[in-house]
Amino acid sequence: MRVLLGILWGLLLVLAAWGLAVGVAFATPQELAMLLGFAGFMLLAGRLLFGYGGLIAFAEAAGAGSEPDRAQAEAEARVPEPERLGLAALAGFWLAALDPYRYAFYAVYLLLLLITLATKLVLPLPDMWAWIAGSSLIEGVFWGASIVALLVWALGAAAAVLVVRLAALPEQATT
Amino acid sequence: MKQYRSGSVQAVVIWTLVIALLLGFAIGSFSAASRARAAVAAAETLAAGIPPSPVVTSARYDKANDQLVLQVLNPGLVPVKLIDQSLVFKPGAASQQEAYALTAIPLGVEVAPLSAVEVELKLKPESEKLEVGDVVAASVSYTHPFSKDLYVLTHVFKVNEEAAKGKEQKEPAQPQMNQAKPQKGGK
Repeated sequence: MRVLLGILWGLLLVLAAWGLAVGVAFATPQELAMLLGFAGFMLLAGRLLFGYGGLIAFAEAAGAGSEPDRAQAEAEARVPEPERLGLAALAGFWLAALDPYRYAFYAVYLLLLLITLATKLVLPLPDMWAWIAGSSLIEGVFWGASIVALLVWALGAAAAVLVVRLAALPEQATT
Repeated sequence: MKQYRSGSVQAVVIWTLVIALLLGFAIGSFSAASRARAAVAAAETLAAGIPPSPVVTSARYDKANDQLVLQVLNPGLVPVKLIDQSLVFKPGAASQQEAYALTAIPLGVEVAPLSAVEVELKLKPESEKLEVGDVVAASVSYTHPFSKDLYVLTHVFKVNEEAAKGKEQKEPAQPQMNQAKPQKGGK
């Protein structure tokens, strides 16, 4: 059974690699720029995505009353003696520890947005359709980065909601 | 905790879905537009490689100046140079004029891509006016940028009652392209 699953998984990977290669081969330069923007911003947001993902799992488990894994939370929360903290406080420090990465991500994304807008605000506009549809590579990078920005925003907002809800729970439930 | 707004996970999910729909629409438009632009560029490159051949879309007899005026359309994407013209006149039953031929009268007109020009072919000086039943075969030689060869376009103008009065004689099927603007004081 394991061997069969392994073969199937390998076939799936080969199929995915083939699909990606064909997609790249037939992509327009703008689509390649979009792919590169997506990949680059995924690297930039990697710590945020995994951090918020882990924090959401931690806060959901703590809110449900089960005992979550404290090891990752204690490693991520930048506070002395994290082992003495309750679950809600630990989640709060973890959320706060991710803020610098969030601000750095949004700063780079905002810079990219401004550059993209600067390319679109060239007057007089020679071709209205080209302006609406966009033809610049930097705009492709921007759209790729926007997918990652949406993921970061959604995960961050969900994590914040869960942490605030955890802090509002009665004290005995979270210690 | 004050810097975080409290809300619900459901609201975050719904807003994420709404934004994701809009974002997907924008990204799909961007991708489709880039593909459309690539297709148009490829089609233009292809069309610019097709050798042009000028088309006479209409002709008229200019009685006052005793000349034949041809509307020559270049439907291609590269310019055409009209080098010289020749003319063969064959009289009808009503004409007093004898048959004649004029050859290699310099023309030197460049027809820009996707546009039309009026080419004037002078009839033989001091010949009789065209009468019903006369036939004029006008030949224009031209070159295009893809070869050094000389090509010839021949238009046969049969004079009927309307043509003798100077009315425009259009070819039965007209290409659906931009036509030359009517000249001032023409017709």
